[in-house]
Amino acid sequence: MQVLAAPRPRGLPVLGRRPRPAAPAPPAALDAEEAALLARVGRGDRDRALPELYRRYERRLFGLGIRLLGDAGLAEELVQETFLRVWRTAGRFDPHRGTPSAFILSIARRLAIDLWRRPSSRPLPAAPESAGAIDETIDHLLLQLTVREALDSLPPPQREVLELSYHGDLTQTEVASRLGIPLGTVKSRAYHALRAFRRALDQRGIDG
Amino acid sequence: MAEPDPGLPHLDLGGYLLGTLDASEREAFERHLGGCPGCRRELEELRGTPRLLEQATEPVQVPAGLEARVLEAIAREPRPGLARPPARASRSRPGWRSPWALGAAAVLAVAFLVGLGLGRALPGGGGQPAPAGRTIQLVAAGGSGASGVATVRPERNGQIIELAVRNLPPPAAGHFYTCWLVADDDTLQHQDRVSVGSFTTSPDGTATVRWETAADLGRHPHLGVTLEPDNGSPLHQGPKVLAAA
Repeated sequence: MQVLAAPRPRGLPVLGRRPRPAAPAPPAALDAEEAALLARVGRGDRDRALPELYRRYERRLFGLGIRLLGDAGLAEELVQETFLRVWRTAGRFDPHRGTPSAFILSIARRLAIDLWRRPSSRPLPAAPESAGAIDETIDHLLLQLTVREALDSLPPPQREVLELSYHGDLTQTEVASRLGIPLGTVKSRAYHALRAFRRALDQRGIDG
Repeated sequence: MAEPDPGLPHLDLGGYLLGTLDASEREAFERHLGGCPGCRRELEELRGTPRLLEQATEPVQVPAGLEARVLEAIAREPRPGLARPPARASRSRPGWRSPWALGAAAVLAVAFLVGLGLGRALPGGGGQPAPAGRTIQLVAAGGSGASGVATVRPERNGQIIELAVRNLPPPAAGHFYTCWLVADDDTLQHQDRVSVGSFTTSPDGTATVRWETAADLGRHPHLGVTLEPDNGSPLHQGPKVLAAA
């Protein structure tokens, strides 16, 4: 469960601290959607905008909590406190200063560090103590969780082909047989799934 | 005229990238690649994508009912932007003197902040609010020659804020100025402020900007300008540069 010492892969972005591009660019569709949701939350919309925004981040936040803190109760606390603060501060979100995900994840990042510093919440005695090490760990976890979120955003048949192909060490003929679909379908689905995955990663600010 | 449809790439491109072709399929695809610029371009664009699959965590299982518990907790919160209960609002602590001063103290090295006369420049607990329809004279928080004028006018859904500044040097690379509306009880640790907008200045030190904001001036009555690092953080981190005279 613990990945505290895992280094952040080089060349991969730091999530929640994404810098703005040097030149103004139209916001990605996902950012624009979430900026609109945040604006509605800032105006007090807790019936529709808040749950929708919440659902987009729940798994990432809970995943960060459980992996960093190793405790479901603390992970729940992280999710709840993050969204309480999103609720209280959404009106301060300024799309010219960062993306909605940077806004939300930077709140989560600070809370996660606070929870980590609670003496009772350290799962490993030999865990890194320095703020820099924890920061790196959180960056890495958020990256992994955001990649998972991008993967989960694909239609299930596309996700299935990618996961079986990449993790299953299967040939495409074996994938076709495993899924009970024609080989030609596996082939075209593999390409379209990769394209869709690339697009989902781009929308979430992940290069590669 | 419509662009000609470039068509789909070779059927085995996805399998090639994912490493699911057998040896003969792979060789055949590589022969095809040699004569197909379209596939080479696609390959280049998608080459780094499969390795990111390795990065994905296992699917996250969220406990049943978490969403309901979180939304219930938020339902017990007041609506953001509503006036605070009197007990909090009537606190006499001069809330925004110290946080701004602390913010400036943390970044003394910023060239055009030549002093820390923030206490004088700031309104303290009984300070200069930014009521609707008012013109607010702004002076340099650090004693430089910078100044500004902000006008705040009500509109149907909030306020229009216009800000004109003079003698404010263009921010250093990686920084920009931010105009804030600040609550009485704002502190660096527990910030209670609304970003009105960000701006830079011309080489001659001037800027004129206009924003619309739905901020509640009853809750965030103080207007000021800070210098902020361009690091994606929505929070106030840098020094104050202009405050109400």
